[in-house]
Amino acid sequence: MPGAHRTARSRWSMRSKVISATMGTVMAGATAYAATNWFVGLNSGSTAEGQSASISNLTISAVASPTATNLLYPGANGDVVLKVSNPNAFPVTLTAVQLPANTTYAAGYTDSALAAANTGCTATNSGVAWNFATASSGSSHALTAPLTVAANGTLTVTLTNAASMALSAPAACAGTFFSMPSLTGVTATGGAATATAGPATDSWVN
Amino acid sequence: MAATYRRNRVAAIALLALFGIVGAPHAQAGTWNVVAAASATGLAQSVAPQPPATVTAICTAPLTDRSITVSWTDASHATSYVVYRSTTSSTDGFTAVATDITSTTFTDSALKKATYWYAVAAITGSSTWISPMSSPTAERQITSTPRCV
Repeated sequence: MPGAHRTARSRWSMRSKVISATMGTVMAGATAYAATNWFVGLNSGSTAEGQSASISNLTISAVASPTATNLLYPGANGDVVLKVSNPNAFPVTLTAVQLPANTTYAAGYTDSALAAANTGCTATNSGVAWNFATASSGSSHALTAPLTVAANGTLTVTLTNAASMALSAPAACAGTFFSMPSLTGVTATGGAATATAGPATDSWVN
Repeated sequence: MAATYRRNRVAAIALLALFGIVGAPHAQAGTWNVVAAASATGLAQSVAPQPPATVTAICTAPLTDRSITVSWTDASHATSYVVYRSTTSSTDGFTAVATDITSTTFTDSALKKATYWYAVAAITGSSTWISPMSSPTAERQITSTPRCV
């Protein structure tokens, strides 16, 4: 009965495929479900390589409230205030940021909405940079304490004395608002965690 | 037939392996460094240098010393001060008589017979970052006696 033998083999082959596929699906699903930390990048989608399609990137933007306590002047440090938005359905915890080069300066604006440029205080001459930035772009700076942004939430953070101003900053930079040079990345994980109460403060120290 | 069976088993194993690989990134607990070209910024703010709110000029004792002591309140973020003097009027003719003063007082000595007004400006970090002058003090006179009044 060669035909019967072939049919039995074929049935087994088909059955094995279905079982294997099912097992694979369950394994993949279980693995994803059990994960405690997921990779999350910054916005724009340019960092999404290798990510699950269900994970969205963070957005970090400048905000004027709360007002910075420590203000910049030549040779001094100042606070940086920002808002982290997490579009994901799970909390995201930031532990470090990656900084641009220390020769990348902030542009000055005459208003806190950063709408009107201060033409005398620009990214060329302001001398305002991230503290602890190095000559190379992408150096990592650990936060003093991890910051957890709630699922689908935002967190406003004051990074204490995170910026510095060079002694050479011109007088036109007095009384100016600065859009800090863009961070090049964040080190963040997604997964169960208690959200940090906002507005939060994080000391910018090494 | 045997070949078909083996082929199916290989396909099944490959399928499992594929799912395993897909799931692997999620299974790794820990952190990853991310490089992004996106804009991610924060807001910083700089000082607008302000002059001392109050500046006073008093005759230094003894009054025959021909000296006037100028005092002022601390200005926010000031790193030093400049003291100006005028013998013309309270609104004109001010010139700097002392710079890089890090305290909040200055004594102007060996003055000649004249009427004097003073004002103070604050420096913040750099000599170019100077506030406007404060309001002038009330006038003080060194008389011919000599005496400060």
